[in-house]
Amino acid sequence: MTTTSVAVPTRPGARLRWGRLPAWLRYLILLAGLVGIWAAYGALKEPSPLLFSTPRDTAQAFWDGWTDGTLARRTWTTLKILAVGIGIGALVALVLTAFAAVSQIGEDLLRLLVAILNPLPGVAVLPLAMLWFGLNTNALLFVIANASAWPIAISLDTGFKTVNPTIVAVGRNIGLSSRRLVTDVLAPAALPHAISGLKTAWAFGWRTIIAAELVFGVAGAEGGLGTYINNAKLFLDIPQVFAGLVTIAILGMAFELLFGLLERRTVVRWGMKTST
Amino acid sequence: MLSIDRVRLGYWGHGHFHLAVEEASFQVAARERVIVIGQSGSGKSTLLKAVAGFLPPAGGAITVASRKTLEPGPDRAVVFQEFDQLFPWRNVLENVAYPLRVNGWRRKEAAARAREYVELTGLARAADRYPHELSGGMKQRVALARALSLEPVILLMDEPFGSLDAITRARLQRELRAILDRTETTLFFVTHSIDEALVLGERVVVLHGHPSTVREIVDVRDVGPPDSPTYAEMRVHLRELLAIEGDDDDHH
Repeated sequence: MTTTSVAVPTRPGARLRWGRLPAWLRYLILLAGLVGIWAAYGALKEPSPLLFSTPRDTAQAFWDGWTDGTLARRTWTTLKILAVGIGIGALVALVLTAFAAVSQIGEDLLRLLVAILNPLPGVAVLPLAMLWFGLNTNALLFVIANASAWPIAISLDTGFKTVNPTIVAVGRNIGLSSRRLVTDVLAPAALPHAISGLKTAWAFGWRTIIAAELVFGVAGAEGGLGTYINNAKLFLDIPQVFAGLVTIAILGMAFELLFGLLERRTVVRWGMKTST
Repeated sequence: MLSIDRVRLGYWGHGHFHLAVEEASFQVAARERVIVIGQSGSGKSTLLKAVAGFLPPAGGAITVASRKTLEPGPDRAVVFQEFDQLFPWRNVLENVAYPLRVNGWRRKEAAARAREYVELTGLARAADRYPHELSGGMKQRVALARALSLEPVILLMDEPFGSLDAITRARLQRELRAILDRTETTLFFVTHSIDEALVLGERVVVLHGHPSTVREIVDVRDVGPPDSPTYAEMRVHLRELLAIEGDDDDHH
């Protein structure tokens, strides 16, 4: 998503009308078009309701799910596990990169762990996690932490390594202690990389937890969004399946917006990143 | 004030010790303005780094106000050549106020003092801008304001105007001289430009050789304005000391 429009030589009429609309309206129109195609397919082909849900039925299921609290609870369960999992992953990443920053053996260890574990798809460790932790939230937390730690570690490591040495020299010159050099200079200087690492971790974690819940079945009392979709499928309640998917899509967009806002408030405003 | 006594400097690279300054000895008195001049690779910036505390001498001693300088500190505030020496996430005023806060100033007093120095360096209207919104010349002004506000025992400047265009450079040189007149700051300034040395300095230390030694220390207080014959004479003398051929001041 770019915030500035570059003057690309296209047909002036088309560019003027579409490009001059505000971004939110442009996306809203496109979204309405896509929902229109979805509705038209449902109206014209009349596919089996055991396989397909129209926008109307989906909206109804979505509305019911959110008003009776089921979807809200399921979403909350998933987001809670995701947040804690990414939190653990971030902590592991922080400890490892800090160790890598101060010692050669730490750097070697980080390189090796990243090389081994980063290419592994998050859900691949789920069977093992289920054996180790049993059918509970801890297994999911382990999987999420593993999926998010490595992208965060890679970004943080790059972030710390690419800090401008002049700024570090200034920090020492004005009398900063080692601790404040880390918190007041290195940390904000590495922020652009930290945010992009967190974005990747979020995307990996989100895919992983939904996939894990689909495999896993019920976690805790009720389970999360993935379980919701899987259960709806078992009962052939297709509008609920669609409502679950729509919820996932909306949350994805919401977080994209949230990260964009965070970046505009910080690294973009400070000229450390050019656009969101 | 600053005493550099038989100092020997170098750095490690590829398993070898590379000597940059063979031996240098000179002193800087309080409120004096000393320019260290030399061609590229003469070790002039290395010498400044050593005074700042970034590089321990391989021999000899550097003392500032009778104290041996071991670690970097705000009593030897540095203005670097690089434009990106400001904290991008702090605006102009915060960039100046933050080092004061680090050194124990209360928030209000630090802000007031920062504003004072931001005004002194002609940045009053840019006080709430972020570094990426400033020109190169303005960034160097902020760095100067930041260093001056700490009221250092000695102000260290490492070719601070080296990356600026000629017009901005000349203007900042004039302004720096006026500011130093007002603040009575002791100056240790490194450059490869003879004209910059003559405009700003009272004494000029000429480093020459590879590894370098102090070739001569020249008093330039009575050199006169740039169009005077004494200035031209001094210019020729310094060029000879630096062994510059041709007529380019920046020739390496």
